[in-house]
Amino acid sequence: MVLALVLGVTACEEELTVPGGCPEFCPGGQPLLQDTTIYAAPAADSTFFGYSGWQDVSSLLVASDFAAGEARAWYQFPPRSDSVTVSDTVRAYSIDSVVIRMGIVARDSTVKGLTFYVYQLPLTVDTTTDVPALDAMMTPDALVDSIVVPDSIYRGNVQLVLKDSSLARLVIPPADSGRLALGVRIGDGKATGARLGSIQGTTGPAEYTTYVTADIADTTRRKQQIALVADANGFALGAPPADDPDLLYIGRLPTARSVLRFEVPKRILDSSSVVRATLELTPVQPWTGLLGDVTQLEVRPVAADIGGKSTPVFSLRAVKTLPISGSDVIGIDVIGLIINWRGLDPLPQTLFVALGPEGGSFQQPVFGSTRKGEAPRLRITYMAPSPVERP
Amino acid sequence: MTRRLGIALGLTLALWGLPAPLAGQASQFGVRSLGLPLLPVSTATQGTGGGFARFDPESAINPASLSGMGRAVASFGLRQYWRTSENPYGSESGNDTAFPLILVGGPIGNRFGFGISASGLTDRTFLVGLADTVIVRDAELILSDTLISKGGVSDIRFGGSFDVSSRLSVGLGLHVMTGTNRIEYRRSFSDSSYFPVQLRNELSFAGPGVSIGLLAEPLRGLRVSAMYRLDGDLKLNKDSTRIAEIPMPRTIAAGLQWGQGRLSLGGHVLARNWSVQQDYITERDGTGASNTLEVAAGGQLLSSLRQPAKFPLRFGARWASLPYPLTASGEPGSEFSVSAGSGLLFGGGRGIVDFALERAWRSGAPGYTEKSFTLALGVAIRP
Repeated sequence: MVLALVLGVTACEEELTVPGGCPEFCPGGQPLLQDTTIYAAPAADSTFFGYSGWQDVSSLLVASDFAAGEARAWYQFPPRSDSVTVSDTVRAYSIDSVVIRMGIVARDSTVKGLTFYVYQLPLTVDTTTDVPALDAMMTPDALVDSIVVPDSIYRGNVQLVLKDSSLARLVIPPADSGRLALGVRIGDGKATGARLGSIQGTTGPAEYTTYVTADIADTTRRKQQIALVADANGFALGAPPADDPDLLYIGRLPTARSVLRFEVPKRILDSSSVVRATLELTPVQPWTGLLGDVTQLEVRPVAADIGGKSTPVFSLRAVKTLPISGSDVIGIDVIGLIINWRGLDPLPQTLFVALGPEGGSFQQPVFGSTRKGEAPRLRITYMAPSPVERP
Repeated sequence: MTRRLGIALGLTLALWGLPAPLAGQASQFGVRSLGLPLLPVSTATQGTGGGFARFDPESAINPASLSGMGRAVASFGLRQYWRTSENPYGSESGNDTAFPLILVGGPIGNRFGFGISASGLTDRTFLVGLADTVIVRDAELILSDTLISKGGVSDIRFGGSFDVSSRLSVGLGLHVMTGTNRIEYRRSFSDSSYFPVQLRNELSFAGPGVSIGLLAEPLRGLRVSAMYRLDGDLKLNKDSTRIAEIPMPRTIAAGLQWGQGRLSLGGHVLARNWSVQQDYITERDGTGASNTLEVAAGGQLLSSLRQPAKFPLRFGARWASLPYPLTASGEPGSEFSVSAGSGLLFGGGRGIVDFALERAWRSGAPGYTEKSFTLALGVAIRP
């Protein structure tokens, strides 16, 4: 008895899988994969603008003869004091040199001899200044100097040093009260662009440092510097097409995001096993980006659908790196999002589509909607309930 | 006697609490429909190849055989099973354990016998790995499927016998078909863009049945038996929702046993009309069902007439056709086994340990074979 019980409790069990195939080992048939396309709910897709503005851009665009458009960037600096304080005494100074430093966020690494041209601009420049207006300001007389970017530098800081006779090219008029505005363009006939650091970006905006000799007898304390960081910046991107309310936009400035709504049947969401779901967006026009730059399409579900002010679920997102340029359908796998559309407490069948970085990218795809062009759609591959359950 | 029956019943209920299921052996031939039919026999009868099944009171087949239960008994069986399966897709070996039969019974008065048993009726335990390539979204996609099934249909019998005379007994069995079948389906894909799938279902079975039996000794030393079993439709529930009702076959069997001195020989023939399920299965794209025939014969040579359970030599062979063909051609499989066994006494004769070793061969369509060894251990307590 004891022997039997011991054997019974400790008897080994080794369940090794027997290799098989269908139809012999598929009772009831093999569960089939089915692929279906579900278009966005008609007239329920739209674009909302204004999620972030010029002040929020993470980088500034500069471009010349570039397919994505002409772009010029500008920085404004706080007032430079006309004196320095040394040994608790305010003293006059004479300028020895000026260093203007900018950060490159991204550039086309295949372009050799990339050159930035730095101009002194009127303080009237602001986010409403467009490319023609900036070009009108960037006259040869306003040219401060150029920065030839070493071919080995793809990102990081580059600087312009002004001293001796070149200092004369950067004179702040007394009426400007020490404030300086600089414009940047890219040139030398190369069709290319770059992204420069901004106040809101991790690279940071341009810096403007003035090295001076203070009026003090102690020669060891004469050399002083005044370092200023841009307190305003912006860029202008040439001639964007007029917004068509029947199309879907992402990126741009002010930032655009598109909201898509779907009505996926419960027989697919709840009664089947979804194994792949791809959101497909069809561009209505080609887009061009910067070689070597990374721009991503971001899709998020929303916690509650209240239109353009819906709160995205920040813990869930699907990301797809956009091709540098193209006009092909963009597919992004979103199964990790739409599995939250099922169950007892499902999220709304709404997706927020945005671009990353928002507002600071050359790539500005425009997609068809349910009203114009090819509508957004979900391509869902699912497995119907398993027939093997029935003997 | 009633007290002894109570003790036996208590022991049996305790054994039912063991963790292993009542299911039988895992087999690739149990994939289709309800799976592999099982023979609910005691370890002693398994040693005779099943040849004594119609006459053994500790086997849950012929209710009339309960008349041979001279005293209360609680018994259970344990089987360790090693198998090697081969098919055109490859081969694999494995092993598992099962408790195929638990029984308690005994005489009530001089002419009545009584027994409750729980055994496996069919077994649907298997693990199958499947690989396939399909075209999805205009691209080839390799599917890797694993189908895991555990459980099957169990049979609880409430049996009684009545001795019409010293040479004739009749029996009646009321059956409850029950049991569960846990199915797990796993699918993974060669392309990581596709999410793996894991589906789990639990099915439960329920159905009634009745069996009648007869045991006679027309000549001294020669016994004959007959049995007929009628089962109602097997109801199939998934999460308390009825999803199907499967017609169950009728069973008819007859046996013959002869004994003289230390030697006894016996055999039986059993037929089931599984083809009643043909329409049900083919409507669901299955491969159908065929009627089955089972023939078993065996013998026992006693070492002691005074203590028959002490070191007897048992031997036998069994052949049975299988109801569910694996392939669409409808070719049914079959199994053949040879077995041998013995037993010993303990506890002053109140306990018996029987053991048997069985070698079985199964085959179906060309290329589908299975070989197995089964070591069976049976314990019977007679309080």
